[in-house]
Amino acid sequence: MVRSIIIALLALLLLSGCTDFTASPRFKGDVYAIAGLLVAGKAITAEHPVYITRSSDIESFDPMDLFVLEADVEIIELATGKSWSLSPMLDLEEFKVKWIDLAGNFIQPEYSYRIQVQIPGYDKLISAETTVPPQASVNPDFYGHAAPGEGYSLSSENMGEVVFEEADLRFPLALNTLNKAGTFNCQIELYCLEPFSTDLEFTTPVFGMTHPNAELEDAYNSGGRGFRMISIMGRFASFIQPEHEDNYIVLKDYRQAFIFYGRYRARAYIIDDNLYRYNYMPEGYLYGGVQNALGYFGSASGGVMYVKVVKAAPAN
Amino acid sequence: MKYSILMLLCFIGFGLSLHAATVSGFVSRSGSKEPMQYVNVHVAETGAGMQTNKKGYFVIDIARPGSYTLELSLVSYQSLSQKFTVDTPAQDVHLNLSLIEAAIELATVRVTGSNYEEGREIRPSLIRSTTEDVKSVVSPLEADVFRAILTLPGVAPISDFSSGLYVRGGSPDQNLILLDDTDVYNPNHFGGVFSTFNADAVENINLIKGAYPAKYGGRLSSVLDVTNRQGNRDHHQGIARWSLISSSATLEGPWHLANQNGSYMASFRRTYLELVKAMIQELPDYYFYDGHFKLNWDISSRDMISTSAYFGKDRLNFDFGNVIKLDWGNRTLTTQWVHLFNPRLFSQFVLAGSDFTSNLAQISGEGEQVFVRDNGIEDFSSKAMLTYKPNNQHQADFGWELKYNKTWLKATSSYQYDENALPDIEVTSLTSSVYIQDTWDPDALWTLQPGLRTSWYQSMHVNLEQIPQASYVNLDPRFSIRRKLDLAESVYASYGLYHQYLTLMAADFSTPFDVWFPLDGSLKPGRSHHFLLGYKNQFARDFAFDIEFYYKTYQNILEYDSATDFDWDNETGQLADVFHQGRGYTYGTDIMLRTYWRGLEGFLGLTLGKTKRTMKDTNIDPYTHEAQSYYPKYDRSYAANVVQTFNLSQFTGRRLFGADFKLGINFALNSGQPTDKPERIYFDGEDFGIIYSYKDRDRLPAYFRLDLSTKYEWRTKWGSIEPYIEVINVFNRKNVGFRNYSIGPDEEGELALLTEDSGQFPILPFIGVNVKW
Repeated sequence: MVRSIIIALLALLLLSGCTDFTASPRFKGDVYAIAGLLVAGKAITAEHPVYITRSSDIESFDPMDLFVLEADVEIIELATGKSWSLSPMLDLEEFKVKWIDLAGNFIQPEYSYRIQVQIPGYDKLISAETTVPPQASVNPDFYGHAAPGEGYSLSSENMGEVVFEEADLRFPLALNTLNKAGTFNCQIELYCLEPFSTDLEFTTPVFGMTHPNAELEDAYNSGGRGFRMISIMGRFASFIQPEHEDNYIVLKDYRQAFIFYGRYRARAYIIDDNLYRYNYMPEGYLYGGVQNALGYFGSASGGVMYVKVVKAAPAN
Repeated sequence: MKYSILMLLCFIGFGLSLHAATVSGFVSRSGSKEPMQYVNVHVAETGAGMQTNKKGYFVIDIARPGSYTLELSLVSYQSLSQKFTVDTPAQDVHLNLSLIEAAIELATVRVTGSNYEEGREIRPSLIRSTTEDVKSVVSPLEADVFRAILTLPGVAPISDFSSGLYVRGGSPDQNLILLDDTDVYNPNHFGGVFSTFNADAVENINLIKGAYPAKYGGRLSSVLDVTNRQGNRDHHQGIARWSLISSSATLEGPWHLANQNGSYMASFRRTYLELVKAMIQELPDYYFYDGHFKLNWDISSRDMISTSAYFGKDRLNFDFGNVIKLDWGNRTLTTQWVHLFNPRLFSQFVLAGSDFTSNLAQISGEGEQVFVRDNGIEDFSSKAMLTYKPNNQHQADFGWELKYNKTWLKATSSYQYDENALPDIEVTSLTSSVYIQDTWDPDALWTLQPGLRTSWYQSMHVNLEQIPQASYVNLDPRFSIRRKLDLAESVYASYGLYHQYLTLMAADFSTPFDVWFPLDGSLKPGRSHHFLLGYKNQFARDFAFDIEFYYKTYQNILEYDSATDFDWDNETGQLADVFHQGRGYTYGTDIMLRTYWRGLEGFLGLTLGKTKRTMKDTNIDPYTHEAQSYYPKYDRSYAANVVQTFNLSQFTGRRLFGADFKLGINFALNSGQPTDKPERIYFDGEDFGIIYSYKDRDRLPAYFRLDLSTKYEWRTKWGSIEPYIEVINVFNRKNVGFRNYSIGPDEEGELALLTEDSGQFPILPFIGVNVKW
């Protein structure tokens, strides 16, 4: 009797053990994604557009079907009730369809905005709201001692240079929040503008390597999230700094984010909760504040700077 | 519940009313006089018997005066018969006995007895191993306790680079890991290649995979009870080992001072990877060391005191402009007093301290501390474990435990982080427990084992005002029943309820920087019901078969929410903000065929099982945002293991070139672990992103690995020399540890999903030498 029961139970488990159970697909039907970053003091333009895209399954991905071309897209300024529509614009240089505000309405710091997207054939209204952070700007020369041609530039043309070993000592990343002190979601991003090459040189040798090998190319690019881009994100405090009247978030000790010598873009933003959650949450596309679609609708305040990181001149 | 307590008291009370003579004593290993656990001891004339306890103690009732024979047996040891006489009805006969190991040249000597006899107590889901068992398992670099345990049925390895124990659907934090009855937290060295415990210093390892008795509590899944060696009480001896990246030495022996006696054992191990780094720059700047120490004082035949200590430290530095300095380690200090109040009342009192600390510091090129993170847990415990055996039908185990825990996690930074975003938490707690359990043999066929453990947990000091205090009282009943079908065949069933008051902040896999926390009032204790049905049959002298069906439920289990790194707030945060809470279940069967046949020693194991979890805010349905249940990474539909050592010299009775020749084999075949996979892609304005499926949409390829070892042991007048060769992953199978996905141009320049598998161990040959004297 005991043996019979055991054999029966065992047979049952053997049968179930032969099958590797897996879950069913997670998404069904149309899935859309929004990517919109409103920048304080800027309009929704080709530089800061809203993207509306279709999310497709991997096998049937068709780049021609990626961008949504037909939709009613409306931005509402919640405090005033003012609203305006966005229009699609084909950016032939980047091969993207961008939704922009042809009227050039400026995004106001500390205002709340709502986006509503109605896509023909999709029975749900896609919507999201964001509150723009307070006005902030980057300060390329926080200590005010940059020599001509040295330090950060606000334009990618005529970039200044910094010596790697001195980069963060002489030029901390400084975000001026004017008269606003307190805690802010902050995102600082250093992006190497150099295309991948085995001639790139590590600023600090990695396990004995001074140049990347060809195998690192994928990791370098890796969908824009490879190690060419280093992000620092967190809740930072802004307060009055010595010899400055305004409140600042100052980031020192960051030069290790310059992995290679070369040209860099540095973005320093105060960001809203939507974008913050989108960035830090696992599966952030579910937490970017968008209803009935994936992605994010966020806002930021800050700026962009450029610099070239170079080696120190050899000692005489 | 009241009924259960009454029943227990009745059982014990019934026993108390009886009185008879006893034969009792300690069993030790001949040649070292170290106590021996699980020796089968029985009186030939009456059939009454038991197994020795952890300290080698036994006591058996003798109903009438007369001449008797005490028979002792244990596999690998020569059986022993000892005559004794009971002259009066209340006489206590005390015998201290030694067993002689069956040397391999004694292949023709009949080794009687069995490792698999069950003894009186019902010990469901128990797998016990000796240090020799551990050393016989082929492991990378050196014998390792956790590597050996990972080969057992019911224990799922998550990766070659992790020695985290996933026992029957439980996570590593749900295992109670004891070293000399002291809790050890995060017992891993870097990479999981080495566990904390040095195999040379360890005497016994007991793994209880479920339904563990009332003596144990505080964890939901399993118990790993490790006992340090006491050291040779007869003569001084040592073992030294050298391998490519580590060396170890163990010394032990007796001590005598005036008329007092005892023994000592000291073992030390260190890696020297940082020296190898001088030649191979790609290696990390890393080393670890650890040590086990034990000192025993045999005060009298009724009193023994032992003190044992463990310490270990890992140090790892990365230099990438800034220097990241990491270090972590465990320390334990335990003092035990074993006292015989009388032959029937055996007691063990423990005072123990244990801590685990992990520190991380980022130092700038200018020597400033950019970021510092300190974490640790302290544990101060006192325990009493008593066994009262009023007669041969009853054995009552009872005792108490008082445990004080203190945990801290503090981070500071020179960055302008919001001070409240950097954790600054300190929590202390007190857990008080009492337990009682009776093992009752109403007749020769049946054994009942009811038990009850009561625990009261309360958080004490919490440095953050908003964190609610916790106070929980739980009654955990345990019950086992066994029926013998034949002399070495039985069927049993067990049930137990378990609660857990400590939790671990850990990512998907264990790291040294996982943080233990006592619960606050925002979280309920973890809770698990265990149900077991088992069958054991030693169908031949050298072969035994076990099968066990299990079902476990889990409630209030916790998984660390990695988002906490970004949204923690010292002013508002509670532990409930740090974890996903959920529930789960696991069921399956473990099958084990054990062999001890003419030099072929080991086991064949098979596990069939299913594990599921549902965790809040995890694996969510994108439309409803409701959590979906899933098979976690450590779910294994099947796992087969063959772990065997073949001693050719024992098989043939002859030595090869004057040496004993042993061949070791480890074979593992596991079903692929559940994994998510890219299901869709989307565009975030700059790049394509991947949208992942549910966590268990796919399975990685099945895991397959064969390891082989050969050992040649030359015995000399002063000891032995044993060079060895091991090859891990003989077929160089490309087992997949993780599968990484990215989107990029394929060979034809089209946008495509690219996969990259991070591997497990490749083929790895090792050589080394062990020297014993």
